[in-house]
Amino acid sequence: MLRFIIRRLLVILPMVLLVITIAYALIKLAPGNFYATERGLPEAVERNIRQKYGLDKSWYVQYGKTMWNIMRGDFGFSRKYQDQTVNEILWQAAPVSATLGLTAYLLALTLGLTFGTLAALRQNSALDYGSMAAAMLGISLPNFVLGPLLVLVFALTLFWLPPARWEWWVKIGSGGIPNPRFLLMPAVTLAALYTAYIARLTRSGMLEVLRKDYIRTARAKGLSERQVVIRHALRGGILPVVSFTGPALAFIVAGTVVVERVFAIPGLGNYFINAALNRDAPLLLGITAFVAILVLVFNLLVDIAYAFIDPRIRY
Amino acid sequence: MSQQPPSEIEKIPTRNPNESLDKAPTLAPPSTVAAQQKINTPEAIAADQLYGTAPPSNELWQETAGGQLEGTSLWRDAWRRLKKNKFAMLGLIVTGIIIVASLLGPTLLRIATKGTHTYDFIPQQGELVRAMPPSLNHPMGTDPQGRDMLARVLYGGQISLMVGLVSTFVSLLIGVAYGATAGYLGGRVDNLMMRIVDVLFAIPYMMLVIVLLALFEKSLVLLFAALGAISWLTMARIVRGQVLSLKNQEFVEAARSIGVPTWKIILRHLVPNTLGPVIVYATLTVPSVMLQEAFLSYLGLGVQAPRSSWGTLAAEGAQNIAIFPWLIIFPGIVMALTLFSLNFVGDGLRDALDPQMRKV
Amino acid sequence: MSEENGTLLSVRELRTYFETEDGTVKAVDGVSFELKRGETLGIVGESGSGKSVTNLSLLRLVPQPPGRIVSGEVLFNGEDIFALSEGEMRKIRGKRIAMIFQDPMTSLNPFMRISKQLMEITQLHLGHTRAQAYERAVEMLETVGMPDARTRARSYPHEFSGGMRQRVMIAMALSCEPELLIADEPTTALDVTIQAQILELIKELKRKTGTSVILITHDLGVVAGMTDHIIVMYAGKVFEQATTRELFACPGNPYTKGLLRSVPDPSHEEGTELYQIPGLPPDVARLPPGCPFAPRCERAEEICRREYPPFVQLNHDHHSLCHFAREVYDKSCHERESRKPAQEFTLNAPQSDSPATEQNQ
Repeated sequence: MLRFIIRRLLVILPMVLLVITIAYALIKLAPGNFYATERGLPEAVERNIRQKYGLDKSWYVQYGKTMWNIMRGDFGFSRKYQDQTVNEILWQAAPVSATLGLTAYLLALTLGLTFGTLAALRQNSALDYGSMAAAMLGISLPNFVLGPLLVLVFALTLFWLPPARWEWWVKIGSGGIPNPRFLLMPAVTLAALYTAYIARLTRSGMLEVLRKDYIRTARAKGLSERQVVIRHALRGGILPVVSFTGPALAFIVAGTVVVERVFAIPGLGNYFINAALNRDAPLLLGITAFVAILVLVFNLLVDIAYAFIDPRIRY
Repeated sequence: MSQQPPSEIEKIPTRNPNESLDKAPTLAPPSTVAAQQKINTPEAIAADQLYGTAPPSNELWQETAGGQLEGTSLWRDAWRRLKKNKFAMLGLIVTGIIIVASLLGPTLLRIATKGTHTYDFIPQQGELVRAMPPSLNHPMGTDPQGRDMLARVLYGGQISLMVGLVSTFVSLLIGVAYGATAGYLGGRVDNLMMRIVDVLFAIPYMMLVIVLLALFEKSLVLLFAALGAISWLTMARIVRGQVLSLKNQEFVEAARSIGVPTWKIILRHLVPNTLGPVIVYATLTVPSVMLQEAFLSYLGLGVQAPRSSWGTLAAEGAQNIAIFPWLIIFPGIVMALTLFSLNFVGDGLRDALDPQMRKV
Repeated sequence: MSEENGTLLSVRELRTYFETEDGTVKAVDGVSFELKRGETLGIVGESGSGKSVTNLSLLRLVPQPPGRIVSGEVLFNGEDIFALSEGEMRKIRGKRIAMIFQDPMTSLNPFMRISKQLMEITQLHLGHTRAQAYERAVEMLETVGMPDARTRARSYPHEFSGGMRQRVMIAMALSCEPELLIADEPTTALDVTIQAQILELIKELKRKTGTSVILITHDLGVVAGMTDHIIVMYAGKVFEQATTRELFACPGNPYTKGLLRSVPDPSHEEGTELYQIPGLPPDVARLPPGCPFAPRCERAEEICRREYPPFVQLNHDHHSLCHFAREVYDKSCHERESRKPAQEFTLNAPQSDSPATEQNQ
């Protein structure tokens, strides 16, 4: 197991570098510059800017320097937000996105597992059909439609919740505890799709397990239906969900990009889009690297968790 | 038993809840071998019996044993099952209506209204336009430029569906080629190729796609390529799993042992048997790709003006939600309805086609 | 054997149906039998004959829906099983009636240590503490011949071979000392050499504990050496019912005869083609009006296709469902006479020393 973890950790580093390199290559190959304006710049000014940011050097020097700095954890200054380093922006924005993502994640897991299991246990009941229809809707309704609709109903019509803002309730460092009134709608919007996926995965996983011979054995032992489900079925039934939680994080990251925009939340997603549109290379690379590391490490954790749940897996 | 391909597709049986999946011998194997198999593995049938699925009627077997091409009955069988699935059929009908309406609707509307209800409507000089709420004249209202929303939504459907289909096709090409190669070659090549897929699975693609589309000139071709390129991984896994398990199945061995040439095995057995899961997954990829397109369009990175897709329409609508809610509600509803239907069709097809899910 | 020779289990007119897309499948259709204390009953039939469903019905473990116990009565120690509450039923399952299933590879929970799976049952029924249950688990594993039981108890099922897993299943089934053990094709999924070991083990444990056993199998060779009585099932119905010796000696049903002929017989000369009953088991959802076996039967006549056969009593403890039961019975008894003293079929699977078998010759 330890060897597996070390091996995987060793793979993560080149993968992060690969992702950064792809992003870097895209930035370099793309037309346009971060300093370009509508009117164009005087040649002297442009030359000065290029010199200042080292853009006059050959590409491999630039690449080498960038990668070296990134590996030391230094992403440099943002091109757009001139007085802030990328690390400062990450430090500011990451807790916001993390709070949002984590809330959505837990919400999706709780609701998805609950409804998925119930649907499987009461197969073909109204509860089953209801949950699955809701899940299908969750999969079919884009979050940028769901978000505004929630705002329309709960903020603009019923006036229950404030429309679009972010506020720390208790501030700790650059993060803290968010105000649940502001968090609720974005979290629900973000969670909808994953709740739906997890519910469907749980249901099908449980149905498959409940058909297994060892469940029949457990019943033949005289265990009650509850004991059968909790002790024997649940473990195998949630395996597909466990393996989904890895990719789910990557999806959630993408989801936050939209949700943050819908609800005007100052998270990483918003910075990321703006960085891409402004060709703010350091910030773009910084966020990409941060997320890539996060996702890859999380995937490793999921694999480890999997091995703990399923004793047949040996790494 | 054949090993389950490591597919990501969820399996949601809707028909017979207690059929024994892992025990059920496939119907697909060619007649004689299968029939023999049938007699000799009583446990298999015992399991079916136990769970209430009757062994196949004698007529069915004789029909298959009559030397019919198994592919034919496989498809006919699947179709018969699909027809029984009300949700899937409803989805199929709705999808059909939406496709036809998207294709013909804009033109018909233009003709019927003499050019006033079009997605590219330009008001005459001095004409006052504003966003009007839904009315009899404009069932979905109009946008601030006075364009009929129904026409825009139908036209948006053309683009959205096109993106969905083309990108799925791209992912299909890559995925099938990759998966089939890995599965067929097997051994270390397979191992390496699948490790690469595993690794790629962990990469947050959407970020790279966002970077790509934000930086480069946005064109539909780029969008197809980008969406296709991030959707092939699961397809590759499914195809590889299918090919691998089919390769080792008795009926392929049987075919080989009686001297059927390899190309014939591939054509007769591997292709039809792999086609089922591939079609199922492709059907499910279409809505997911459409969703991604909408997502990118919402961010201003997908379909660009003057073209518009459901994504761009919804994005426009989201900006003015407080004042003109119909601008987001209608594109949103139509899009959700389409994805909903496509997902039901995909689920239904899976139940009808996936050999792992099949009855007996 | 057991001191009291009373009836342990009595099944009357049991009917279990399944609702499927293709209509109602009468998986078990009017099955009756009795089992005395300490006896072993064999239930034999091809796949789909309803033998497994019969026994799942006894424990009310038929998955429902789609399954449904339509009618019938099961008396266990005089207690009506179908009248019990679910809670009372659970006190019987695993404690007084235990089951061993066909495939030991899938019948054990792959996510749980063997010890825990064994402990679960005694903790539940005997109120054992964890420590007691653990000791009992180890003890049971030793009883079923698990080498190094104490250390291996902590293993997971996938770390065992098929034969060992079936031993674990048997250990689990017997750990509450049930009055009835139902073994549903306990050896089908195992290698031939392991099969013999497992059968021997069941036989030995039965002798030690005096448990009654129902042995379900499709292989007549298996039941020959183990059982006192045999029921032959076909299409959800009892086709023949007799003592083991009688059934092997004078089968009174063409189907039984077919089954007997299709067992490989080493006494036959080499090169003799192995007999196979022609055709396939019927679709129980669409049975013809006459005898369900008629389409495959060599002896079938017009009446067989038209009318449902009677359940003929051939002698004190021998019944057969056939229009020509008496004729078939007489013929096979006669054949047997003329075959003597040549080796009998039954000799390749020696008869148990059970005294319960009655002589009818």
